[in-house]
Amino acid sequence: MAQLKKTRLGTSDIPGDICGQGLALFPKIGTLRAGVSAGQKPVKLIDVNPSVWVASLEFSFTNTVKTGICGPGYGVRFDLEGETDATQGKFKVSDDSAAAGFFVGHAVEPKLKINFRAFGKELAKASVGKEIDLIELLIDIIRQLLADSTDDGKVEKGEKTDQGGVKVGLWGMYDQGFGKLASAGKMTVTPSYDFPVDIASKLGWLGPLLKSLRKVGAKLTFGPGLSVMVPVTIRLNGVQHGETRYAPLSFANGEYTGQAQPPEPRTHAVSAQLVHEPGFDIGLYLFVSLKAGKWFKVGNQTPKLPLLQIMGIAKYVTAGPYYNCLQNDEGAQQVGTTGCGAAAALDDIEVVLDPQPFEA
Amino acid sequence: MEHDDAGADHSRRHFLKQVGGIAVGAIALGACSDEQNTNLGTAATATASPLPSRYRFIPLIPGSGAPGLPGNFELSPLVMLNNSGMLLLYGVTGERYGLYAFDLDFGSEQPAPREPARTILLTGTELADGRRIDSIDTVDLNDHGSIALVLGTDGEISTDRLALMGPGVYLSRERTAFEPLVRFGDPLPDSEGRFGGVFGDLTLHNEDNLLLSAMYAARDQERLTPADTVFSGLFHLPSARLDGARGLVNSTTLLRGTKRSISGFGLVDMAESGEYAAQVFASRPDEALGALMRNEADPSAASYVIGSSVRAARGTINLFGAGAVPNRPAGEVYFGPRVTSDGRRAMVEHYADGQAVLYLGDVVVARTGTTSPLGNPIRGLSAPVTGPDGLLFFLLTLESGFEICVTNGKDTATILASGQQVGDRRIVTATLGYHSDQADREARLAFYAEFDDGSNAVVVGVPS
Repeated sequence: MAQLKKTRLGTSDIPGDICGQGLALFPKIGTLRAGVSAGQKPVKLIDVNPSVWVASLEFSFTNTVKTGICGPGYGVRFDLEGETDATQGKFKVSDDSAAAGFFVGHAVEPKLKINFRAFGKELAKASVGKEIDLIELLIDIIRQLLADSTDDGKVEKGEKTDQGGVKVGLWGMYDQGFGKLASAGKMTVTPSYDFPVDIASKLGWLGPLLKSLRKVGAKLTFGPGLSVMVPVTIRLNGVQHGETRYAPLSFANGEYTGQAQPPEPRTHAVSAQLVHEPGFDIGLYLFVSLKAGKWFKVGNQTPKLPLLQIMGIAKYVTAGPYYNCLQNDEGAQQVGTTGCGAAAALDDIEVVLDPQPFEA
Repeated sequence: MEHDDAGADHSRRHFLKQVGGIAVGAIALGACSDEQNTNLGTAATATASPLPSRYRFIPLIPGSGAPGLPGNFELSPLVMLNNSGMLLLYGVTGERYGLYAFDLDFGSEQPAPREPARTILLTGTELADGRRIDSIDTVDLNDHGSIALVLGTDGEISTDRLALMGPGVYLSRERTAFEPLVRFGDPLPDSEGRFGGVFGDLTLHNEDNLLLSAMYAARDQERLTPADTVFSGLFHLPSARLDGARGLVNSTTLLRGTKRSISGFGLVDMAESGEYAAQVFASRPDEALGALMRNEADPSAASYVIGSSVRAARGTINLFGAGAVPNRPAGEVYFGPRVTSDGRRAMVEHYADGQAVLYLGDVVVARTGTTSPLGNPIRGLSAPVTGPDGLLFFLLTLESGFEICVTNGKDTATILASGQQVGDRRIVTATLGYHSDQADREARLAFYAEFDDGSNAVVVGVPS
């Protein structure tokens, strides 16, 4: 019986590092290493011009949505120890954490035309448009919401990226879990977010228009609703210790057990194969309304924009399972490398820097 | 000063000529009989309440210089009146927006404020919960002087102040300090999820029953996904408390007979009985998505009025107007619908051919392209204002000027017209219908008005 000394395996020593050193949730999309892909499309939300009102109102609102993505990816880190012999290996996991998520950038360019006359007076008139980085605006809100909703969920703001003519602030979200690989044999993390936020009042350049509307008890509302979901379940599928591989692993009473198998090529003494099954959905919708007292209200809300299609990656999003390998020197106290020789081929990613033109 | 004061002059004579008749001491109503309504294609109701016979109008609160109002206060059209004589005004003072209240004395010969205006709320000030008021977005009051508001608070985004951000619904119960009822991020009352950052319209009635539209995020049980989905919903908060509140209807609800589902909610109104009416926006999801992809306006987008009782089972709704009535063309509902004291829904529908029609129940009470009770061509209609005993008040826009009318669904009469002398000035503009609470149970009216000398005031109309 040989001892497997406690060995740190993982993608990063920093819990929650999902992109820089993470593994691709969807190998054909890639992770941050693939860079950012971008697409854009204009969205007409409303165009009304009723002619028989007490007032006359000309109100149009068009939004151009620009979006880029990196990830989604996941990161994991744990300590592995156990005993192995020629026929069987028994392993325990401790100090484990896993995180999953993705980074994405959005910008919208609303063009607003409003001519609001009532009771013989011009109450508001404007024709304005300016690009807004939604995420710049929403990042704190999202962070706060996630902090409220989960203990470990958070949003990280990344560097600005200029790709395909779109310069947007990146944002990411992830969900992080601890201890489940050790206690339950699998870890599921589900970064998700879906919340509507009115941003009209946050835009300084709309100030004069909003002021003129406020004077008569009227209000312009518009904003985005972001919808994101990245559930992923991660399992420990096999361990190789020296010249013996133990797989598949079963889990019971806090212990993994696997039968001895022929070894696979490795460059380090200890390796672990992980398997993950991801899901992924992302949507963006927009809403706009104009109301005055309890006199009138006009508005519209779009269905969710299928951003996976707009970004040209929908066909790459499949549920897996996908396999990854981690390895290290036995007894190491910092994470080693991702990829394990021949298994590293599984990590190759298809870079999607030029998404296909969006087609309805 | 009453419009029919002994000092009536050329202006009055001009008005006499215009309306075709006036009684001593008060305006005689220029009436439109049910026969005329029949000509408009309506069916008259058999049990209509009598119309008030005479009205007098008083410019009660001047646009500047009213006791208790700031020196540079600017009146807005947002004027409200409850059944206890409380007049609520919204206006701006420099960079600050505020709500002010007058308690009116209708007991004496000449209606008058009992005392200087009370300041109800000002932007820039701090609420009891520590949040700074950024904007006053929606307001309603009840007969006890309780006021419900949607307030934007703390507009600056910064991490350390984030907990203070976002809009919320606040209530002042019978003149006490404003307390938060529902805020951005609060948990839903009857299901798993949270309120979003967008609150729509609300209506507050006696016993503090509150009807509120809001966006929220919740688990979509049908899709069984682990992520939340955003909805718009209509919520009833009995006694204006979130515990005990429940959702009445939400977006995704199919509007029977239209092939459309609700995508959002507009303006709402509720009678004391609990019967409500809500403007809703609806579309066909597949067409909406197709239009979105082609960057076209959604051809299936439409607006309707739904209604039910707050005591009805969740999702139980009726569709009113806008194509839901046989032999009635499908129009759009842009204006706030109302529920009359006798439970009928009143609404204005706008049609693709440019026509607009005001319905009281199934009865057409006014239509653009026809003539007013005083014989003037009607160009536009206001949102209606409900009065006692099923009465409905509304404003007609004419080629030049306006008429304010009252109807019982059978007869319609003009009670005020532009050019008429109100006090010592001629009235040129009025904004009835800006809020649903502009008439009390005595059929008194309150509305913003402008005069031929450029001044403005809140005018009160009193049946006499």
